[in-house]
Formats: sequence, C-alpha cells, structure tokens
Amino acid sequence: MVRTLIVPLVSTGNVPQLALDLLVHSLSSEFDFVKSLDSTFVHPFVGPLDYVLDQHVPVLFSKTAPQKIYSTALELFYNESKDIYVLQQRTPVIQGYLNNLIKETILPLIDEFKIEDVVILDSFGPLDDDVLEATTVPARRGTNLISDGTCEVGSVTDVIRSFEQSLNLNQGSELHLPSSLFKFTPDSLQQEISSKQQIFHFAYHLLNGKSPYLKEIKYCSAFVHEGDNSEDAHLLCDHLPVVIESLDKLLKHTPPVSWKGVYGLRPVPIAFDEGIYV
Amino acid sequence: MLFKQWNEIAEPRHQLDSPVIIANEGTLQTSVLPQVTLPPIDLQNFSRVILTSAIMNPLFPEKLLKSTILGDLKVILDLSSGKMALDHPMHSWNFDENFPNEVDPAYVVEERSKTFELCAPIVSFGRTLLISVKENFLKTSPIFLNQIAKSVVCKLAQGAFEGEVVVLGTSDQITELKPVSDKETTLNPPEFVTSFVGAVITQLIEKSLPFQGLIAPSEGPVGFEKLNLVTMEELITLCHQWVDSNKEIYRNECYRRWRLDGAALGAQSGLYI
Repeated sequence: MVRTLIVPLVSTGNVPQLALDLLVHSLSSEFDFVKSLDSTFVHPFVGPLDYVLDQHVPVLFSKTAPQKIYSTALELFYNESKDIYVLQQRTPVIQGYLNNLIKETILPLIDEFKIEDVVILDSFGPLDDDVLEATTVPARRGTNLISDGTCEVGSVTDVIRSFEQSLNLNQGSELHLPSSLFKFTPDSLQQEISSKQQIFHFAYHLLNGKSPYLKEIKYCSAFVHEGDNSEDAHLLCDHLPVVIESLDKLLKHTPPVSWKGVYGLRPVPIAFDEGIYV
Repeated sequence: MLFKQWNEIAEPRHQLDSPVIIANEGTLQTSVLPQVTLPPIDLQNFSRVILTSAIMNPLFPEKLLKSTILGDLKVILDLSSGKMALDHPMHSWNFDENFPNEVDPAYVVEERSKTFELCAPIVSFGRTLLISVKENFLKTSPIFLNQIAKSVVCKLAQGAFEGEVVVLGTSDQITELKPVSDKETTLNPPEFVTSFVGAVITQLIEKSLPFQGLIAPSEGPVGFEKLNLVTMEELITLCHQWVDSNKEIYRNECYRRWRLDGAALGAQSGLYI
C-alpha cells in the first residue's frame, strides 16, 4: 500500500473540504484523529467536535483523543487499514502566507509520516479565469467534470528547470502554464495548471522539499458552480478511489452534523416527477 | 464544519475579506511574520487575565474600575527588511545616486513605508489584567491576531501563571450566549469562533492551559460587531463577578459605554440618531 496524504485546497464552493468531511465521517470507525497542526498561517478557528448524526460521541476523535472537546483550523486524521492521512483545513490561508503554510506546516508532515503520495484536491468555477485558461475547448464539451493530474517526483531536475523557465524567461506573459509539471488524463477538463493557482505553490515546495519518501503528487480538481456544493462534494468523494488505490468507493455517505442546516442533504431532483417545489 | 464569511457582497465564499499586505501573490518565497513585543509585566501580581477584543471594552469602564495602563503590546510587520520577494531585480550596490533615472524613486518611498503596526494597551484593575485587541477586518490581517495570541499564551504558559484565564469573544454563528471552558463547551456544530478570541482559544488548547469564558452572539464583520440588548444584559450580569464595583453603577456605566462605542444595534441605541 502506498502511504498517502490528502490535502484539500480552500477553493470554489469549499468542495475539497466538504469531500474530505464526507470521507472521514463516512469512515469514522476507521479514521483516527492524529493531531492538531499549527494554525498560525490560516484564519483563526475554534469550534466543537463534529460528529455523525446517529453517533452519541464524536467517534472520529474519541478513540485517540477522548479528552478533546474542540476542533481547530488544521487537523490530521489517519486510516491505518488504508494507510491514508487526511489533513482537514477549516479556514482559508491568510493572504500572503500560503508559502509559509506549505513549507512550515505541511512539508514537515511528509517527512514525519514518510508520505509517498500527496493527493491535492481542488475545485474551480466559471469565475476562476486563471484556471479556465488552462482548460481545453474540446474538454469543456465533455461530461467529465473532474480532472486528474499526476506529477512524478523522479525527474526533479527537469521540473526545477521548468520552474526556472516559468519564473525568469517569461516575465512578459502574465500567465505561464508549466506544461510539463502535471500529466493530466486525456479526458480531464483541466489540461494544465497555471502559476497563479495554489497547486503551483504546492508543487513547487513539495518538489523542492526533496523528501526521500515522496514519489508522486496527484492533483484532483472538480469543476463546480458556487452554491450549495454538497452534491459536488459527494461526486468528488466518489472519485477519490480513482486516484487512491487503497480506497474503495464508499457504500454510504454519512455527512457530519455540521452540514445540517448549512448544506442540503438531499440529492438534487433530476426529474419533474419529484415536483418543481421542494 | 466550514468557515463561512460574513459579507453582503456575493463573493466566492472561500475567500475572506482581509487586507492585502503582501502584494506579490505569485511569489514562491515565504513571508516574514509580525513580531510581537510585550511590555515587562510580572504575572504573579495578578490573579486573573482577561483576553478579549475591543468590542467588549464597554464592560470594563476605565474610570469606574480605576484601571491603569501598564504598557502597550506592539506588533510590527516589517516588509522592508529585504526578506520579501521583490518585483524588481536586486543589486549588490546601491545605484540610486549614480543612476537616479534608472531607479524608480517611487519604489524607494514605498519600501520605507512597508511597515504595519498594531498596538493594544494592557491595562489592570485590582488584581485583574485586561488585554483587549482592537480588530478591523479591513486593516488588520489575521496574522497579527494569531501572533498576538501565540505570544500572550506563551507568556502565560512560561510564567506558570496560576490565576484564571478568561476569554470573552463574539461569534455571528451563535444565537445565544455560550459559556466555554477547557473542560466543556456549549458550542454545537456548525457553530465556531474566529478572530482574536478564536486564535487565543486555539493557543490555550494547544498549550493545555485551563480557561473559562463566554462567547456572545453578534452581528457584523470582525471588528465591527454589534451586540444586542439581551446579550449585553447577560454579559453585564456575568462580568460583574470579575469587577469590584456597585452592580447598579457598573451596569449603568456599561450601558452608557456600549452605546457610545457604537457596539449597540441602531434600533437600541436610543430614539434619535
């Protein structure tokens, strides 16, 4: 099994965070709380422990941290049977401190837990111009709304050269697309990443971190419309087994209680026989 | 459990309003952190430390409590130190004098002014120490609040402070006054606390320091919160235990200050504007 760390980017509709909420709470008997991470570089957050509606205690936390009563902005969970670490990030990064967060908070995790694959979840919408430029017109006509890209860490030298080119040689062009960094599947909507995206910063620092364990960076990005994105989160969560081998498709999604009243829990009606009015 | 912004404008909800202090978003270098300086205060002289934001200041009227200012907590973010990524090439020699036309004078001025500062007075009344930070989501980056919280809680942990730590905060996610402590919380998902008090509680949990406190329901963005009359009444009743004053006088003074400070909702601040 490949030891994997899943990281959500705070992006359109908060879909990656919601998808990870679904993952850890649907498998709350398998996931254990590992630790809270330093949250200096993200907006302050403290809240009560989240749980699934039919649980009497927050199972996700009670196994390893029975004394814990508060959740903080960055928390790490681990599923031993599937060898998957999940980093849940509950608030956005403070403007200007994304590089600090990656270098000082996330990179040390890769060495500490000997992470081999890092899976980064992202989402973008019609208003994210910088990402849309990276999509291809034929792909936009397709029905696949989730893009998968892979970056093999093996050829670091080539990649660093690519970064240098993108940073120095193309000062005239505002948006340079480092085409050789991620290899996207042919049916992906997104075929490139732009240097303005958070993933670019992640890829740069992860590659420069030169971890002896890191083998692959996988990027999984969903096209969403801003709104109630709980349905998009279900779709992204269902897509995770495609990029993570040890993960099977969840038989049942159990959203945490915090979704109640904030996000719709019912599937979107697809036919008029359910009535126009809900 | 997710963080949602308080905002009337339909902006993407994953983006929060906060001042742009580092203009070059594309940089791949890390940013410098604000440095916090605490005035030398002997914590052993105090039996209680209250950590709160300026919105709660009406609860601590200076004259009535005969409070004294012990010093200023200063936070300085210096972006002109050369550690930041710059948008122009750096040279090992200063060419300003010999090539005045080549070096943009506007830039030089800009560089000098790239310092951000935040001050918070530390006051005491009786054996209580009050640290109240004035927040402003338009001008104060949350990095300042995180750094202050870290330094203050570090000082409490290092100084082996034996008194009680009280936090007084607000949240627009709750509908009634909620007591919190290190032992139990009355918050239920998806309620949460952010801003300075959120940062303080995060640090207190991390350092395993005992605390108690109150989170009051509020409306409005960080730094401009409004409290309603019911909440204020409850707060006054509960906060009276921490001050040494006649209850009726304290109560009237708090209400007066509450209205003056603009923390009152418009409809409750009197008949005329």
